[in-house]
Amino acid sequence: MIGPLSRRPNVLDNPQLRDLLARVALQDRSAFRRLYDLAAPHLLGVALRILIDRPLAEDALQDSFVQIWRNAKTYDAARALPGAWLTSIVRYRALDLLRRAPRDVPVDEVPEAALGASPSPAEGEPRLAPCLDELGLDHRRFVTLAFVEGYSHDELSRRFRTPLGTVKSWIRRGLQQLRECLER
Amino acid sequence: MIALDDDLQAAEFVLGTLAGAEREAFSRRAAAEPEIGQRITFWQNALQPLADAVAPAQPSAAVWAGVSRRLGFERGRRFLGMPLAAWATAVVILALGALLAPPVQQRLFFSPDLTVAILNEQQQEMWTIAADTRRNELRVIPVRDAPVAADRSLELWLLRPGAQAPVSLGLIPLVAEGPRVVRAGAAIGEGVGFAVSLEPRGGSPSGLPTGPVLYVSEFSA
Repeated sequence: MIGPLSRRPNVLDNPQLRDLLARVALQDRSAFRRLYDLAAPHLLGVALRILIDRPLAEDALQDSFVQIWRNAKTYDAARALPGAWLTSIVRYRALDLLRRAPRDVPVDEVPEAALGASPSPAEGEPRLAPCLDELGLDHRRFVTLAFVEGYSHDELSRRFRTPLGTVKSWIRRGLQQLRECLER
Repeated sequence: MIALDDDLQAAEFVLGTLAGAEREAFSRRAAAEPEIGQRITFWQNALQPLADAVAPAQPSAAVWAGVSRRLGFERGRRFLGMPLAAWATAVVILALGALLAPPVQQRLFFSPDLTVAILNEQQQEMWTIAADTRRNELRVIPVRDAPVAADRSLELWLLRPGAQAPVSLGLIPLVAEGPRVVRAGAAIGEGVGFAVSLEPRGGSPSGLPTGPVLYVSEFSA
């Protein structure tokens, strides 16, 4: 199930992350430890949604922090949001682990009402939520499930009993609409 | 402007639905084509609210223990990537410099007692920094030109031991500009290092490095 975009204050858009990352780039260990304390719980949450299995999610988190320490000097604050940069490292690592150990996917008999709920806008990033709202239900659902829970085309096709080609074109069309809205 | 098809592939790369050989091929292109890298960053930023909304979970203590073991934090303490033993050598060099220097508090002329080389990844010297630790004065000597885009500048930072924030020493000179004398706003003593970061033209707007750190100093005798 996908929760709405929450309004709770969240750590991953905390501006402090930017300063901590700048110091981690200079290999400052105390800043690295503070970055870990601040961001690790949210990043573990992200990994858990994809991997479900806790030990596996913790492995992904550990690999990710090793990579964060080594790659912090490539972080470009002028372009990337710090939370997005950290999240990407964790998501890509979790996706790697997931694709190696495929999981059982539930099959939806009836569409879940909650999946259709409109996400409420998150603070600091007003653009995504209204743009997601403009998508059709299926397009929005597929894009969100792929991002948050790491669903592949194949898994979406099995879960919603929808032909693979249809899944692919819905995601593509969903992203194209999202792009038009975001760049407006 | 990027082709629509490439942009949608960037979005699918971020989403995770671009998989297998296609994902690897695209990731190689992203490394070679800056525009693709920029669109990947655009999509990562744009979709981030979906990740922000996920419920957090407290990791077990084993995660941090594993990170610090894998990064070698426990095998002897290191600072700025150098074992403390190596820093101790640098400190001895500093101390020797202090002993050999004329015994006046404020010397009249710039007389360096510490030399630091800033190397690139090929271990070629990019800049030499000669420091007079009594006067807290540096001479920054460009040796090789670093490639830098017209809308960016390279900024020099003084790294201090412990958790103290780095101090900006201003933009670092290119070969054509010649050596630059800099008075540091903070004490240059044992345990200091230098770093060069890529910043918007004119230097960091925030007082801390905002761009990637391209070079970090190593002490030389």
